[in-house]
Amino acid sequence: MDKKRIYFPDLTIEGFKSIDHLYIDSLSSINLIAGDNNVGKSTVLEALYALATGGEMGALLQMGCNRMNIQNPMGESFVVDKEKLLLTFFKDWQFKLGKDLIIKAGTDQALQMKLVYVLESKEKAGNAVVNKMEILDQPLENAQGGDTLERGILFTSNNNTFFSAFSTGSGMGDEFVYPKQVNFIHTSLSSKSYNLRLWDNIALTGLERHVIEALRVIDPLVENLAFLEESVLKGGRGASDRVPYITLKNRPDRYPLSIMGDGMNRILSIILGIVNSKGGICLIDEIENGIYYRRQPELWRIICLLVKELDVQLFATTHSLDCIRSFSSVAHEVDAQLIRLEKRKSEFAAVNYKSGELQIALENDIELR
Amino acid sequence: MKKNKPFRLLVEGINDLHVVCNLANRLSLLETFEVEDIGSYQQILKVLPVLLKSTNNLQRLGIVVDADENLKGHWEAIRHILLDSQLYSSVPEELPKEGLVVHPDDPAYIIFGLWIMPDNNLNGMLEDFVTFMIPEKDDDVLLRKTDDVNVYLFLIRKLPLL
Repeated sequence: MDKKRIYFPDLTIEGFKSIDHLYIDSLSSINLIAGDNNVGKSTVLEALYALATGGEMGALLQMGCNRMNIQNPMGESFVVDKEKLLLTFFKDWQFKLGKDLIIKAGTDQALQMKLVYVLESKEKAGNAVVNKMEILDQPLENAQGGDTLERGILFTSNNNTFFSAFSTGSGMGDEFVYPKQVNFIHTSLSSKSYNLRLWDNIALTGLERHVIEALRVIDPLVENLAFLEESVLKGGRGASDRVPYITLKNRPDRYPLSIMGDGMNRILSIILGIVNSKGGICLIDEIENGIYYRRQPELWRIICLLVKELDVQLFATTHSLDCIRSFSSVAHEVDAQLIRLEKRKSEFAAVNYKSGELQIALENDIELR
Repeated sequence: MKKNKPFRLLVEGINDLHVVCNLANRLSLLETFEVEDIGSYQQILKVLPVLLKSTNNLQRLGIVVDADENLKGHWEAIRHILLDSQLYSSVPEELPKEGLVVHPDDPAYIIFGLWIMPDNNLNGMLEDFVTFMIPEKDDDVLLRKTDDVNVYLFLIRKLPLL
């Protein structure tokens, strides 16, 4: 099935976590988000992720887990965690009827999440008993015998509606195929297992050549990449993790990726994240994390290359002026902008800087965060 | 120079800088605003569009430039930048004699002020202005010269100095 391209020309966020209201009137292919600490840069990425994944439950739960450091969302305490996790997306983390959470982009992409009560009752239909669910805007005082009152979230994604109850995990609504070409690379990502999974996702699809091309920006002699078990390489019989190895032109051996320098696992995560997001969205939190500042211009060249070739829309956050500088050095080659996020009195605002303005700002010490 | 005051005045060269600073000293204005020498008129035109976006650390921004031989041209260029930014729809067509102060449409943005030397009206160089300002022997006529009064009024009323 052909995946429909995902691209956000603009963004509106309402009632999502700490952001009551934010409107960004214009987005580019590459968007670097800067701003004061705690202004909400990561929250914007999370909103983008929720919108891009269409509110898919697995994606939301995983995102919630990352923030809360919960290791196992599918474990025994699943029921309690699910409600707690999902409520973290709403202001005050409380189950309160009233203000909806809305994230939208362009004219045709929207996600709405509404906290609702649902009355589950059983009805006889001929010889069978049918479960009926009725969505309520306010809590019923008393549920009738046999009926249960559930709390949950009503999702409306584009034109599809789906209700998910906190307790039972049951749902009711339209069939919806969730987009997969969306990837979120968190700050404290465990690179090794993430890289393996994302490599396996694209291995033998033809897309892996983009990964090699990207590595060649750093070292033109890179020929190929594979994930190998170190114990096997050392002639042992025990199992071990598979880690990345490369081959170089005109050399006979296989070398661990780390010979290309420090921070290569993180760089590989970014490369794999973008390649896995072909035609879609890639989100990178604290992009400078774990990458030596002198490496950053190369990283941005890789990002420009991949974004152009694979039609990916990229959003990254940063604290670092060095990162903004190296971003600026490539920003004129591609459709890119810096977005400065700011909290003003009671609302959030975004100020855009395109390539030329970015350069002037950097040359004149104009504060961009 | 640390740029951390929310009120800033840009001047186009070292001469303007001295005039403004001396004037401020003479009038005992408090140091609530920063004066920055951008270096040239062209450079001011270059940084202005970007500075107008600096809502993170600026509340008021003023610029003082020379008319040189081309008051109208300089006014048009700056007016153009203001309109292009789409932040200041109330910019007048003519430069007011008493100096320009324009509020942004959205109050979250920066209040902008402009003074074109020597007095927003005549073509001339800074030197003309300075000669107006030099006091006669034993007689400081600074505040009595019309042009200086205009600059004084501009600085003291339009930029929040107290």
